[in-house]
Amino acid sequence: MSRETLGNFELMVLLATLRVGDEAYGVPIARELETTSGKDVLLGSVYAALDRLEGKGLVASRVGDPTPERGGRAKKYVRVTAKGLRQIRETQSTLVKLWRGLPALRGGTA
Amino acid sequence: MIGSRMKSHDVAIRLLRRFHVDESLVGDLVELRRSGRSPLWFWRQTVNALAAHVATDVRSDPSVVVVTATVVAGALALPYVWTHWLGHYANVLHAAWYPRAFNWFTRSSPHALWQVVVFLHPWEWDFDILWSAMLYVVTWGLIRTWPHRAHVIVLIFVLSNVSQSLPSLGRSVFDWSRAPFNPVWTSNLIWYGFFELVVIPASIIFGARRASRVVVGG
Repeated sequence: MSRETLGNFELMVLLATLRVGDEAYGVPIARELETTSGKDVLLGSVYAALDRLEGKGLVASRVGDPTPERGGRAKKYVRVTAKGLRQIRETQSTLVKLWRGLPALRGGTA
Repeated sequence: MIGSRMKSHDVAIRLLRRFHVDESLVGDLVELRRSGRSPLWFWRQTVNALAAHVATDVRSDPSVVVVTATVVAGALALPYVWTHWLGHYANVLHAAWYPRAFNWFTRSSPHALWQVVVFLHPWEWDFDILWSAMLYVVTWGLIRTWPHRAHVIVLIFVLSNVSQSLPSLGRSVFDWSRAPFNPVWTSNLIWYGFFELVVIPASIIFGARRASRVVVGG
């Protein structure tokens, strides 16, 4: 397992990026997070998380063409890298192991 | 651009651009605003984007913390420096011109002119002008030292000065509200408000602009 750990929100952003697919940029990623969590998502936080993930090499970005509905600003498309995928699997595996066999999580009683 | 809602949106975008927030993020916010999100939503996103940008900035260059702490300490120390040092020279200047001008006006001016003089509130001019000049020079010096932190410096200085003046401004509003037709309280409020909320922020911004021009021009 790598020494880098993923924060909760970083993991959510990575998974939302995977769910959106090839056309993943800020808006659909935030929408995906809003739909699944049922909470309002702050785009600044999504970009900050993406920035950190890119720094760790877990996502890669490319800049698209400027569009008029965005005031002539380009979209920043992101995709999860192979290292990112590995990190997600490792995190999932760790979390599942930690979850397994916890009496407190069975039937909702402590 | 029609109506105040679009203007508010424009101000937020200008703020984001001033702080060099990622253009793609600004584009995303514009896209969502045009798809029907409210101005309140836009401002909430703007404030968060600025905070997240500052946090990322600090992480990538920790020296920004040192610069910010120095600027905050400087902004808080200025009133102390003024009271214990520069204020003395302001008092000397004040003593040189004000009693003579006051005596001359009371002896020679008709009542109507005296009313105008009261309204112009001259007994505070020299102090306020010197304070503004000092802020201009200090802002200029700090931005010459840290040109890439110009916006942080301006923001801290403006917020520091405005927040420090709020208690006195509140007192002026209270005095005026007890006697709204009293020319002394009215002039006190107008001039105090004008200097604290217009002249002082303007001198900080002009100092910053001057320093930025010098830096850009080499």
